[in-house]
Amino acid sequence: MLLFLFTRVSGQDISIVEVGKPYGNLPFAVFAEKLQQEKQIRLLFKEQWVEKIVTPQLAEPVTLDKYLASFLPQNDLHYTEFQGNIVLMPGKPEVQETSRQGSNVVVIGDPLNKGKFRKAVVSGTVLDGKTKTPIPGAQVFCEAQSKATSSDMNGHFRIELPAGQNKLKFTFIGLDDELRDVILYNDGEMEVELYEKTISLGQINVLAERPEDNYKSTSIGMVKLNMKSIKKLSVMMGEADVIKGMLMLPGVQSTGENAAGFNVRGGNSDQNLILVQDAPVFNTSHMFGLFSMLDPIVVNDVTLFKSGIPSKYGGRVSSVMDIDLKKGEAKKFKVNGGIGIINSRLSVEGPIIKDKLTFIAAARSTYSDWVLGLLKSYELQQSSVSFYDFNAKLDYNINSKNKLSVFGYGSNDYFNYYQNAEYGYGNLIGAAKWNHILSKYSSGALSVNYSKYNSDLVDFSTQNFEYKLNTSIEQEQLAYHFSTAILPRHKINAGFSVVRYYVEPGKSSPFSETSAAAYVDVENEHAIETGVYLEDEFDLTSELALIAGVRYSGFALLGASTVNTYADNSPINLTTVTGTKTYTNGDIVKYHQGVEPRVAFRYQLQKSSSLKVGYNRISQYVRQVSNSTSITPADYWKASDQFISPLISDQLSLGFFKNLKSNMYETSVELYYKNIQNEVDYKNGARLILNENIEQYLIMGKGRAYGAELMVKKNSGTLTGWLSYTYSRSFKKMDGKFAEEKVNDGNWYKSNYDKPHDLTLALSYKISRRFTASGNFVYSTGRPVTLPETKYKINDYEVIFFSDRNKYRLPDYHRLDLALTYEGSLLKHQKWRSSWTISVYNVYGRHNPFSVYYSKQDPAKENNYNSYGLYQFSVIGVPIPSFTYNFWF
Amino acid sequence: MKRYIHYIFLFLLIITWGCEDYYIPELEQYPDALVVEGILTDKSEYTTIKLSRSANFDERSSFFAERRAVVTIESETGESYPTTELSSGEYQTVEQIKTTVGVGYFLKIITSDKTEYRSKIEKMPSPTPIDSIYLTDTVFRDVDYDYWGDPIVMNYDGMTFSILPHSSGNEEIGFLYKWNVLSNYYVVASEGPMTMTYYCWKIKNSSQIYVYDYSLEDNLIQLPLSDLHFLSYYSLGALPIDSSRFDLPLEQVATSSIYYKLKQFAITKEGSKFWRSVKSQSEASGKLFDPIEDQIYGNIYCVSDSSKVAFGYFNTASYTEKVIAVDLGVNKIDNFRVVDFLPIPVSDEDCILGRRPDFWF
Repeated sequence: MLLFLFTRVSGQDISIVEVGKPYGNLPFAVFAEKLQQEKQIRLLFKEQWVEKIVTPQLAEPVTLDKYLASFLPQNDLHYTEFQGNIVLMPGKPEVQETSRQGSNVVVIGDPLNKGKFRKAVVSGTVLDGKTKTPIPGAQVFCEAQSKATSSDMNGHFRIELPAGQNKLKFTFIGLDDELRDVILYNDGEMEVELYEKTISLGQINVLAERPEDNYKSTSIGMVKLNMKSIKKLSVMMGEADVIKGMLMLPGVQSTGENAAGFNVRGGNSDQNLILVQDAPVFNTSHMFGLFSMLDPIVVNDVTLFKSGIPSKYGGRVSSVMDIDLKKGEAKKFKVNGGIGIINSRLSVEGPIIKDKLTFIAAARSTYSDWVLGLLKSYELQQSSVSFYDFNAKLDYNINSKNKLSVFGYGSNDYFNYYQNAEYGYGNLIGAAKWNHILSKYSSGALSVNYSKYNSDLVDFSTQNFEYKLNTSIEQEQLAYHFSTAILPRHKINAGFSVVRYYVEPGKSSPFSETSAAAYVDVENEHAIETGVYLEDEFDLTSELALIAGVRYSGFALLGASTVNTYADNSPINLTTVTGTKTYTNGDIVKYHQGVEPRVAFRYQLQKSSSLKVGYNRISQYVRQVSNSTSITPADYWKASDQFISPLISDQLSLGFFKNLKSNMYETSVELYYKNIQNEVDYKNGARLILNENIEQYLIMGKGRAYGAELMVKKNSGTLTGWLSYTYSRSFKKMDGKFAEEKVNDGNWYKSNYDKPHDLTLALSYKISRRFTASGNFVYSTGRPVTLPETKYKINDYEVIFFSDRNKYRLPDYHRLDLALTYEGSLLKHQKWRSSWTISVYNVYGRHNPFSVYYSKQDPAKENNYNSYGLYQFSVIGVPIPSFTYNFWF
Repeated sequence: MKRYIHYIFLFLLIITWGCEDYYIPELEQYPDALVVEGILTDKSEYTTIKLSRSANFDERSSFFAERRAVVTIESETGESYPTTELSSGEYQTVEQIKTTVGVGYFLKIITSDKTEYRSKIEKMPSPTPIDSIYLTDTVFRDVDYDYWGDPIVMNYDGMTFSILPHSSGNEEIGFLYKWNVLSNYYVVASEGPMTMTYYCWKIKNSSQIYVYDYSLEDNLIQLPLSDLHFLSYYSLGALPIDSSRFDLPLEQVATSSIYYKLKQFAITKEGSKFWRSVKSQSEASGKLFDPIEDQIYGNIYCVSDSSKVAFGYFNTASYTEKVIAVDLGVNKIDNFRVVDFLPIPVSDEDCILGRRPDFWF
């Protein structure tokens, strides 16, 4: 039995019901009567409270809630909703934390059961108040009992509490907290709606995760940012950027200035699983890293797991970045746009069927060719560069138990270098997800998705030898995730996934009728990866929580293919090929498998601090073959086969988390150690593009990485932000049996992403209601690099002899960015709203090197070199001011 | 291809106000290492071995010759061929060496400080014939800069030479190529009624490394020499010309024909790998997307002190050659045929007035 007192009006929603001019200027009693007759809304009050009240004039229709709020307080009255009625009450509302909608006292159960049960279970659903869709991952706290839980993917939660009076707090990123006084007699259900914050509420959280998550959540190495917080960081071209926002966090490092990809805890950029609506993305950048793949407006939040990766994720060893997209507005249409120097964007959202079917669609495009026209180089003047992307998402509330979302994304980048080459790459993604509630405690989600990344290059620089080179990777996935809270204090997650890969490592074909270029088609790869997992989130005691899970993954590389065989006890190279073995379509060429345990503990030390320990093992079966640190056009994907074993990473992490001054400050220290098996590097002089026997150029070895991440964060006040410092190391060891399988004589050497010191300071200062200033300072040790050490002359060539691999380092990286945002109108009802952002990237014009190279053409006279000079290449060497106008209505 | 990918980054560099700066790191000083170069062929010839020393990268590119060394070529079968130092660092065998296909040879060097170096044993490969030489008219585009430094696109007419290496089924070998061109051109000088016709020639030699080793990487372009070996008609012609050599004002210059000789050296697989590495590096822009940085050593090692590094390669090679004669029209190939040999004129470049030299056709 369930009884709601002071609950929301079930029939008519007074935040929707509008009253017009005829309701103004009436004695209150007449007004009430009219309301009942015309709108079927009953007002309950004592006559003596209202006899002097005349309703204010109405120039245009307003919603009833606002109308009442506009004149009741001055008459020392407030209202609440009760069983479909509006009840007037004298004085001010009793509870200050009252949410905008409804009141905060919930009675669950039959008062006749009072004293009958000592404990009872409250279960229910957390909904987005605006869209009425369930919110997964909302936190539910009972502070007094030190109990917490979170809602599952269907917004369901379940928490056991002592019978009697309890206070429950509901929180979710970017939404206002809701507090409920729950009077509990026996087991029962409740529904809670969370609403978006409005500007007028004042306080701004720089990091959108709830401060309590810092020590309360069991997850270790997890960071969640929503777009509101990402927007506060000053980024290039005045546009908020998902990836660049993440780079400000400890343990996440850029592969280079404006380079695509990022490194997490000493891992390569291909070791990050980036998911958009559960579909993987293989290249998240536009214009080689200047922009990220998604219009920031469609992003709801981004969760990054650096360790403690939940069992449902697999396939990439370093991190998982889960990008969740917004649902379209359920009640009205909304347009959002931005005009910048290089690109512009526009998005539209709204209901197709009110409260049932919503959409959100966005598109971006660039118009940067004019910039090329300004350049001195003739070739670049005649060249062109462009990108576009578009995405659309539909959300369909089939009924209260079933929800369907469909998402589509397409992008394309194009660069034409005058009369020489054309280069393009693109992503195509389609995803559908069906969330359904199985029972009071259980829910499931079925998702199907498709993702394709392709890049192609046309070289038409030599007449009669024009050719085109394609590479691509395609992935189809079917996954089912199930979650149940049927056992008290346990939340059990289980599921499976099946992924089918098609990899085209490289195909070259003639690009004109007269071209004599040959067809080269490096054999395509076809593979199936499966994963099954089971995980339990278990609250052992009120202090100790545990997540324990296991994932089994299997990977089958399938035919048809022809594979070289090599002589035993000899290195794998061209001279040791003994023959070939042919597999027909569907044959299993090689099967790899792995069992991946994942464990995380959280021990709450005091009220606001906790200690967390996590261990996880992950296997990765596809990887990128690349000779540079960032994602570039020359890279391609490669499946594990009989020569290349899957990458296996074991990570142990330990963290201490403490919040101070009522969550105003969050502090954390995390330590980690990673051991990596089957790390890959390349033999000296290896050429990677269009190499049909790439196994002859790869060396398998091992890797290790360790580090400490420290962070202090200020969540509230006019000044918010964080300071983080990371000490991290990353090494490789390639010590094969044969000389050519060794790098640096088989000793440990620094990996490409070994940058020991990394410091970030990100601050945001609210100068006034309209002006916000923000700034970032970042510093990191330069990345390792191989440099020429000596030279000799042979056949009239000067041959450069390089140092041991990664023996040297680039100069250190540091940069300061500043931004100032001016909000146009802050009025809640203003239709057209806008903001202006002025930002300066790299304020003091630091020449941060992207790479170092030697050049033969221009002797570096200053160095008095005779024929060679070393140069450093800085992508951005001067301060870059930018200006963006954003609008929405 | 890679250089174009580099341009993409060049674009980024400029569009984002990027910049290039000199970079002067503190490089570790590397001790001078012995550098060896020499090819022993299957023909009865004098063989020359060059010895020099390496230099630190950040020093001037002056490479000292290694003098007063004792250099001998030895065979697996026990023969030994001494050399004498002809000029500084250049050691030539005392006699013409007659080598045998299938036999291994190696180099033995004792430097003046009594350090002994050797090369690994290289087997003499069997000779492989050149089946065909292909040539096509090509337009090669390049960007040049005018007097004021403004870019202009230049189209160069010329010929592309290519060959399809003979597939003997023996893929344990690779090839090195060298070419020579004898170009014949007219110079017509006239003033008033007086006209003088000069018959001129000049010789050009290959200066790059052309190497092929059946590597699958070369599948990109079936004819492996094609994209490497382009000769513009301009370079084969008279220009630039020293008009003071001619008595009358110049009226017309035109290329008439060329001889083209291609020399194919069959070398060991390891040897071709070495030259491929050198070639790759010579083509690399030194920038992004280059192959993984290589430590190119070669087949020379120090016997007396294993910590000492040596560079360079001692190759064994069987060679064959083919010569073609090509009639040229105005910037096009008219006709060509295989001929027996490449004529050797008295000098590399000269003109004869009013009389065709013997090798003109």
